[in-house]
Amino acid sequence: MTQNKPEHTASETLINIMLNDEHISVSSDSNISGLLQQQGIAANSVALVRNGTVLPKSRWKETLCRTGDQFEVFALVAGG
Amino acid sequence: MLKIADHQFSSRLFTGTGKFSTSALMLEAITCSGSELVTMAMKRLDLKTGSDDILAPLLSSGVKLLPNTSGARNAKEAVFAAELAREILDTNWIKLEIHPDPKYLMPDPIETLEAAKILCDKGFVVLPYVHADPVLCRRLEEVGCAGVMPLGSPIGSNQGLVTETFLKMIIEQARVPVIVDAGIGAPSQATRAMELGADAVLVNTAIASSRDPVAMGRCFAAAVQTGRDAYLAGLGHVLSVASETSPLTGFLND
Repeated sequence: MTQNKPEHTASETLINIMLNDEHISVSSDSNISGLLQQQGIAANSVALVRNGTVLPKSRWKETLCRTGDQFEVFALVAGG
Repeated sequence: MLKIADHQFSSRLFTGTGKFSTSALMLEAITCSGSELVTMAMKRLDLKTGSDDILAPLLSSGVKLLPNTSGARNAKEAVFAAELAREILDTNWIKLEIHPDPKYLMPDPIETLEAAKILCDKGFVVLPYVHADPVLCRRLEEVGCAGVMPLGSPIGSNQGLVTETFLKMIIEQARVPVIVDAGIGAPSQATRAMELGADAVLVNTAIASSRDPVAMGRCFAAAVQTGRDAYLAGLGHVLSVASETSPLTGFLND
């Protein structure tokens, strides 16, 4: 059985979110994995905070972006 | 072998990853130091410049990574940072650091104890960075910390074991590993910490800021091993008066 990707038509809805203090427009059907992919962020090396709460990786696929969401992405850096 | 929580280490030298001039140099220095536990910090990703990209090579090098909560100003922020780190690395190990004062980076004991309680209850393997306070170290042990990390002197200062008297008390009392962290500026100081009976030392600036970090990594590896061996061999007692090493026969006066 062929799995069709959802069709993005002219009626596709864009929503505005914040990602590390930057305004970003994403499709209303974007999940978190898609958002990170769109931004070129390697998903396996970051943690994501959504509206002040850590969102576990296990929920990134099922969680859709919502208008006004504020996301923060954290990564490891050199330190002592 | 040193055991912390359920993990065994054959090297008693832990290293930090900060302040190296390049990532390649950092990796080589750490490899040559033989360190098996390496600390990292966390920050918000800069979307324009991306990440340091040091995580992948560190992971593939086989060292165990110990994320820290540096930047946290209170217990709440530290717990949050620990949860972020657990998400990124899939590890429940955390170096708990709360030092709101930017000048001396002195760890806040009250917030640290509070955060330690919460994190231990949440199942983290907590290694708190603290002042060399024997009472605090016991309290941290009581709430379930897997080890304690008292400072030798201020972070990055290379001043050595300013707190030696109190490190001795901590080492004498502790039933969890004691890792002397912060301020160790020379291999001889690492040797001293190990001679005192520290279970491990954590070194960053002394290696990273040396003229040849790779060579200095090797020096620290040897220094830590020497100190450990000396501790196991048992240092002789320090006396306030002389004690003859040769027989005083007095024949020259006969």
